Parts: sequence; structure tokens; C-alpha cells
Amino acid sequence: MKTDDFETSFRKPPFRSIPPEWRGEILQAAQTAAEVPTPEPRQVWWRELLWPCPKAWAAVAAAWVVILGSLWIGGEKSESSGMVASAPQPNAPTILALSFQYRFNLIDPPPPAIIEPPKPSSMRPRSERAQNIAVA
Amino acid sequence: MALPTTLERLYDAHAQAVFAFLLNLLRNESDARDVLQELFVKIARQPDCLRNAKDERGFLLRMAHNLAIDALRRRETRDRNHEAYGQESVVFAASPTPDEQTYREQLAAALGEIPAEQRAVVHLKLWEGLTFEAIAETLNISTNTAASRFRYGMDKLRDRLRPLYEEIK
Repeated sequence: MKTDDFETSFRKPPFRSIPPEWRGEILQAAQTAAEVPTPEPRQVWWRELLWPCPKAWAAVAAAWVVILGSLWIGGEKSESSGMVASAPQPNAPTILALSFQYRFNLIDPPPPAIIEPPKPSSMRPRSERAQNIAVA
Repeated sequence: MALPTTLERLYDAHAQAVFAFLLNLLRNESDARDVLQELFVKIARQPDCLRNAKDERGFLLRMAHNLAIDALRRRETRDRNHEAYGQESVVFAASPTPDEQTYREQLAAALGEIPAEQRAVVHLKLWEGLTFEAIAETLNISTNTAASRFRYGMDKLRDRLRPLYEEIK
């Protein structure tokens, strides 16, 4: 059967009639709802305050996102260049999974972090250097 | 607040058409009633919304479509079977002849099997007689999308109703 034949021979029966009792009920409900004062939405005041052009504000926000994104990317590149790459910080789900495994002895806990004592500064005050010379 | 006479005039002029559209879209009389009431409540609260409407019927159908989509999304989370089977409520008026009654039942079932977005376009094209441009404006879609959805919907209806049409011939 061709589509055209189907459409031309397609019979469109009438839909059910709307129940007559609905008229009074719906109109009464609408009238009652209209009589209840609608509170002013909170966002009206800032809409009136700002320039009523959402597209312009969206463009400004997009420009800021691009600016901040480029600054962030540039900052990351300067940090990584010429420096030893550090291990990536684990995210929250990974930390949670690791703690679960530590608790149930599924894996060995990580070795304690070795904190090297700070190296003594080679720059001593002049008074101390003078004493060393005298002792020597 | 909308004048009572305005609401009554709108109801008398357009409620049947809007109800038919909602019934075909939602496939459930109770949901259709809720959306119809919600529609008139909105109009009663914001009577100015119709001031710039070029076509009252089209404007109301557009509001009804948006509200129906919200209702369908809410219903999807509750029970997906309503949309899938589409026989929740009787859609067409009863016919005195058995053959015609059988046809109407088959057509209602077939309409329930096509997606809601295609069913909306088919309804507006066949039962409301709108052009694709008017349908696109009503449903907030492009004209090409409206034409495509109508084509896909009619293809599915044809395939579904083919045995019935062959039998009638």
C-alpha cells in the first residue's frame, strides 16, 4: 500500500467528547486559583536590576570562562616545565576505596612518608662564623 | 486575573480540541483532565499571555503540549507501561457499527504504539488540519522535523493497519 493511498483513504474518527461536568469544575478551579495572589518570585528583583538581555550576559560569562580557562592552562604549563613531575593526587573515590582496602587488610598500607629534616642553612650569622674561625 | 467570560469563551471554543490532543498524547483520561485544568489555571493567572497570540487554538495547543510533555516525564518515572501499551483510556468515540468500532480500536492501539512526538505531529496534521509550518510553531520544532515525524508516524500506522485495510478492500 502506497503512503499516498493510505493517507487519502485514512479515516479520522472523532475523539471522545469532553465530559460536560468538567466545564464547571475546571473553570471553578481556574477561577479559584486566579483569586489566590501569586507571590512575586524572588528572581524578579535581580532581573529588573540587571540588563534584561540574557544572551549578552551569557556571552560575557562564556568570555570569562575562556579567559579563566586559558589562565589556568597557562599556569599548569609553567608549573610543570623544568620541574620533576609529581605523582597525581588521588581523587575522593580513590581515597575512599583505598581506605576501605586498608581497613580490611586487603592491601598493605602505604609506607610512612619519610620526612627529611631540613638541611641546615649554610648561611650562618656573621657572629657565629667569627666564633668558628676563632675555635678552629 | 482573567475575566470569567474570557475563560468560558476559551473553554467553549477550544477545550474539546485541546482535550482530544491531550487524550491522544497522554492516552489517559485522568492525566488529560489534570493537564487541561492546569492549562486553564495558568491562563486564569496570566491572562496577558494570550494578548499577543496570533492564533488562540495554536497557542493553547502549544501550552497543552508543553504541559503534556512534563506530565509524560513525571509518569515515566512512575510507570512506563502506560506509554508502552497506550490502552489506558478509550480514545475515540464509540461507533454504532461493529466494523467501524473495530477500526477505531485498532487505530487507537496503533497510535499508542508510535512515539509521543510523532503522535503529536500526526494528530495536529490529520485531526487539526495544521500545516507543517503551523505544527512546527506549535511544537517548537523545525518544519523539517515536523515533516519527518509525520512521515515516520504514518509509515508505522500504515504498517500496523495494513491487514485491516486489506481486509476492508
